[in-house]
Amino acid sequence: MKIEMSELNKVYRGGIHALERVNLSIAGGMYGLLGPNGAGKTTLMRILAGILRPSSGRLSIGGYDYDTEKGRVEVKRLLGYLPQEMGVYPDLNAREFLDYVAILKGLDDQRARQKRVDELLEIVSLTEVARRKLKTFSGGMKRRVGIAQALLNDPRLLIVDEPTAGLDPEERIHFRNLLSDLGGERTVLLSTHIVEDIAQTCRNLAILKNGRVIFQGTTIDLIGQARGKVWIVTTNGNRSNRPTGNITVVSTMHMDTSVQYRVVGEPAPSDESEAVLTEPSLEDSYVWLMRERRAHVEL
Amino acid sequence: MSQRAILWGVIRYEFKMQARRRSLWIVFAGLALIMLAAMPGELINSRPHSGMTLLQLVASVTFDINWLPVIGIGIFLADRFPRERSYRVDELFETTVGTLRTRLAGKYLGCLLGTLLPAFLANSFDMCLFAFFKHTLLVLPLSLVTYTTIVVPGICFVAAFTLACTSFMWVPLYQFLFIGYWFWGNMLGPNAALPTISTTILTPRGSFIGAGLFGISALNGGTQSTTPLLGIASMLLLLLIPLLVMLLFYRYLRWEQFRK
Repeated sequence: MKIEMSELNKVYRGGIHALERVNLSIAGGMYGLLGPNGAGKTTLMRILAGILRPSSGRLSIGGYDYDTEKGRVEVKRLLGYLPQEMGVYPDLNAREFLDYVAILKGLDDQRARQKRVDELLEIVSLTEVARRKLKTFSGGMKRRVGIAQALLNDPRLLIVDEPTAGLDPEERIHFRNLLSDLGGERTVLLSTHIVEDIAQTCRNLAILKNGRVIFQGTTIDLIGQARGKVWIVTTNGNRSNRPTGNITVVSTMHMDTSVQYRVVGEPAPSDESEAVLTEPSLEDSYVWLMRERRAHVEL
Repeated sequence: MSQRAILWGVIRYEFKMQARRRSLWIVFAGLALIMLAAMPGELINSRPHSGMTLLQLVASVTFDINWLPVIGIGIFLADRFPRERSYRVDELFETTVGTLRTRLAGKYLGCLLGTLLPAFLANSFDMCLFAFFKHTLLVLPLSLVTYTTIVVPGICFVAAFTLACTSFMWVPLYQFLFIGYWFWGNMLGPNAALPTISTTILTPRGSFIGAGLFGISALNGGTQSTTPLLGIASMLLLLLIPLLVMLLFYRYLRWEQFRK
């Protein structure tokens, strides 16, 4: 399901520019959306989900014009949305809540609806607690309910905003695999702070900063930009030997007799440390891009 | 997919969520006992009241024992709409094909019925005792008629304003003001210092309906000379104004959506 955005803007009351001249073309499959806090990711997600209207610009989803009521209704039929802050009715149990949302999504047939709810409870491993009230659920369990409700109508477009927030590592991996499987047959738009989630599931991504798209392309392209800029700097552990220069320290690992710093940038040469060039990860590349953008702005 | 099926689903679930509140049942059980204690003369006196038919007697008792429970209805309905925002389900529901109009109508009807159930059962409990003292089961079907005509229109009226007002008013403030309003709008007499709607056909307590349709002498409102036409007019207003309120409320919510 193709998504086309052209000169999309969103200005909130008070003159806050949440999105500025966003131009994106999303063909299908898994697509990542990355960016710092306040970049406009959630605003973009909410516009695509039909909760917010853009201030200007054009948006088309699956060939439907989002400017028209008819277009928005058609997209809602095919849409699954997992918001960043997923709310539930605490006095309903998981099965009831999913049934309620399924009704709102237009699943009229009771038997088919119950079957679907049961299937999804199984997928998110909540079958055994399906009759417990949602107020007794942990944050991670509520998140899984959220994932289940997003899949109720077998959506062709799945918008997930910070989907793995609150999940433990195993749950996160399970959910990532689930999303990847879904991405094979539909468009899945994944917005997250967790670079690893995108690295493991998306070939294509866009990076937003201050409401603008600063990168769109493949993860391979992004990693390519940071090639030659990522170093492992090993020191003897003395504070005074911390790597210096035009760098950002991505991680610090204390070994037995030394300290290893993973840095992005250009470390200053030093007799007290050894810098070795290394293959960048997606996270390194993201850090590199943010540095470059900051430097560009300062110039 | 049909909006009618979605409407029915919303009504069911809103009814369920409201009717499950334990506090609702406890409060209305308490109110049933309070109203019972407040009406000893009507219940214990087994001699027929001179000049009053059984229907008029039932209508009179219905009118007398339901002025307090309606306050409970307003209080318990006050948090139904704001909870959508406080529980953050409103955003999710906006992405579904269930339209705002359908969801709002379903919420109104479901919450109303869910709150009406314990109130009606409390009334029925008192009426069962009344039937016992009057030695006739005919009281029960008659009380159904009188409850539906005298009490329910006012409840519909209260429910619409409660849902709408609490969308922009702090719930405890609304609940406090509602109690004040209920006394002002229904209990103050024509000689009170404050102007009041208690002597108009807008009074939601059902005075004009009771007086016009059943010939009862209702507090502050209709007298026995109130015509049936006035009674019907009062009932219709109390049923139509909620429709208007919900329509305006819907428009307001749509406008809010566009403003976001």
